[in-house]
Amino acid sequence: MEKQTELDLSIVEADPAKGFFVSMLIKDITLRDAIGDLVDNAVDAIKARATDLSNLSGYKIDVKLGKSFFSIVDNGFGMEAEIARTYAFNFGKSSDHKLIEGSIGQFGIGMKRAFFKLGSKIQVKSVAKTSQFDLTIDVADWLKQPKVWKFKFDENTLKENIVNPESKTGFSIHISDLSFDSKTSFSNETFIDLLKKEISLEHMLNINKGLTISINSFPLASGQISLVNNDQIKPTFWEQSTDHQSVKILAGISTKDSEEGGWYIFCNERLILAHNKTEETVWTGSKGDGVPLWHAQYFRFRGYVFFEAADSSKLPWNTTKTGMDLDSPYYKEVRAKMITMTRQVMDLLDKLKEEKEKDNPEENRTLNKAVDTSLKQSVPVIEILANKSVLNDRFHYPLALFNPPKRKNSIKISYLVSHEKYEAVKEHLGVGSTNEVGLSTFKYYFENEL
Amino acid sequence: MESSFEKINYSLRPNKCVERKMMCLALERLTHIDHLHNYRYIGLGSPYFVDFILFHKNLGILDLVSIEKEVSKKARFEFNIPFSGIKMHYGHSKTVLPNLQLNQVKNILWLDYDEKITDYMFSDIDTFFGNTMPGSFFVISVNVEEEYLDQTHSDGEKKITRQEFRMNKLINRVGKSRLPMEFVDLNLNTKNLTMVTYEMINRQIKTSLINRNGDKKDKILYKQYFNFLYKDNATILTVGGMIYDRSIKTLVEKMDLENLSFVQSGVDSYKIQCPNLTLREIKALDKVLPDELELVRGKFKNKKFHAIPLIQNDIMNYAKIYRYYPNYTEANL
Repeated sequence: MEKQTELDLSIVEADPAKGFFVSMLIKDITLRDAIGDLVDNAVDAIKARATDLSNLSGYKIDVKLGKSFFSIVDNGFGMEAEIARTYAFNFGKSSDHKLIEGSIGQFGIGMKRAFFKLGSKIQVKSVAKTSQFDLTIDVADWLKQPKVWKFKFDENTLKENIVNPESKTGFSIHISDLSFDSKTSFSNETFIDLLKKEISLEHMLNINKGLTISINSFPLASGQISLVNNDQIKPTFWEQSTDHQSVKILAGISTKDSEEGGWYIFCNERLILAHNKTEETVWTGSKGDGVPLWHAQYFRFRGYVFFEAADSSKLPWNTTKTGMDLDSPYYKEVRAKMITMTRQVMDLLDKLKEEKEKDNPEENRTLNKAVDTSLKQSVPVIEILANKSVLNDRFHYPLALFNPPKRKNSIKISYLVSHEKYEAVKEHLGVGSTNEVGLSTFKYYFENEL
Repeated sequence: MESSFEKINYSLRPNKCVERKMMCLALERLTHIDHLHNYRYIGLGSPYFVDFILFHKNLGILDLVSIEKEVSKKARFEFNIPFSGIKMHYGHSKTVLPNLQLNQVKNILWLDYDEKITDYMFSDIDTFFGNTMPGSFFVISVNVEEEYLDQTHSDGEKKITRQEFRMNKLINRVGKSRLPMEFVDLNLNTKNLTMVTYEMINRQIKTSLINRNGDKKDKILYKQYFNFLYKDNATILTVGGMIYDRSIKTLVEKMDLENLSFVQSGVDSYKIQCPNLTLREIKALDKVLPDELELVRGKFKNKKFHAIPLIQNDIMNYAKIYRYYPNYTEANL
């Protein structure tokens, strides 16, 4: 380090050592979340370009995890040079930056954090509508210059005030000199498989709208989220919206599934919590402020929350997008609603269980039968929301079919006798079971002694 | 198992009867907020339907909902419905209440439990305060009678004290996390169990409203008006009040419930104690009442009381509730 010739004693040195800063930055993020962040940015860029947000076919995000490199390429909006210059490569966005409306990448730290997590040589290429640039970051070199927090566009690549056709726009990131974590994980099939599963889940809504996300050339497919919605059974629905943000909640039943059941929370169409069964949503146990702990009785339960906000900083999620911000008053309010709606559905689930109790004969379980038939007719949630006007904040089910076991007007007697005496009586009666022996002897006493 | 209504004939509990009549008098004032026929009464069933009869006859409420958990006795309930306006909802209050679309209508809810405070009651409070329309009225009654440690009871090898026994009972019902820290060393006799129960109910109400209000400007508020304590068989605590927002704040003030002698907006309970009196005694007392009940040298100033051979306490207690005192007599109906 160069020795400073003049010291300004009025200045307090607040510059953190860069190396320390970088290591802290990547400490609380997993490799999968880092890649997830880059995918989120690509989705934002695509949605900014898409003219019809309900149809994303033709848009692609291509992720590759190689032995010596990582890359992600999309055909979205690209990044304008001005955005790159003023904030995208800053650490933490300036407050006056222009937002992408309804975006999911919002903390401004995500992209840089992901870079450092993945590797140390980063090449970025952007073609936007009115500008284009290449930018290379060599992290090792950059760390050597303690006072420099800037990056430079590659020489002769910056072009501004040009017109690029939409078919040419896009953004690509190529990272080499992989970190130790990346190298080990990328050669692990299990890691790649989990990544595929997680990203396909997180972006299920976008994939269902036609967006292609492929990982190592494998296009991700995603299941539909669905609920029973017919004449007899209708999910409960609640929504609240202001000019800039909204929340919709649907809760009801679907197939009995210990894994898929639970609450799902989406923020700007990005899945934050999948099939959640913890107190982060409603399952606190009856001694907590929510509902009883998740157990077999609730395997049919499904709840879906959709938060939307033009300004993504208004969404009640945490910075790593792995969960909800439990202290947010907004989430508290919505969570209280989720608890109420879970209880609404539990009214049916509790009755289904009650109907099956105490050897209630199969043919008497009329509510169970009706529900089992309905379960075959689950409907995608998108379709239900498209016709939400028929729903209200009540869970509908055919209560009239509820047929719990009648309390028996009978009593059970049990007593112990010696084996020899039992065998003797059994033989004398000519019957086969302890049950029959008991009944016959009681009958004998009743008929002859009373 | 016997249901509580089979053990107790509800209409024969004189203190509860007085409480009901007092509540009715207070609820009449909801007319300042809306016509009472726009209100819905939600109660927890019993085949006697005493509260339903009272509120329908005296308040003119038409929309009445009874939540009844004993589905197996459905035929008996249906048979005993006194008015066609009563709708039965079979199931547990914790799951039936959320499906009653509480935000669509002003509700008067009376959670008249016979049990001691238990976890599901907090979920009912939460559902109501989280959803009901402003202008609604909330009432909860719970058993606060102390637990009696039966001599044979021991926790495994080790004998436990009465204090531990009582605390364990409460924790089993509500969970450790709901029990305020400052109460863990209390001996839960009736007085202390009443205080702890009251505190836990109030904390739940506050939390539910905080969650509901989120960061909204127009907050939903709660004001307590009822805090009754009485004992027919077991000691019962009744707490209740109004749920409102800014738009009806002045109307709530117009109700002027504070001027009713039995309204209590704080932690101290209004005690209802019906003395056991003969018809002759009642007639004689009624003739003297109302009266200031002023005492001079330990005796009533009004000499007419001296002719009635009753202890002072009974006379004082009767004077508090004489307008609501139930008359029981054998009759061929």
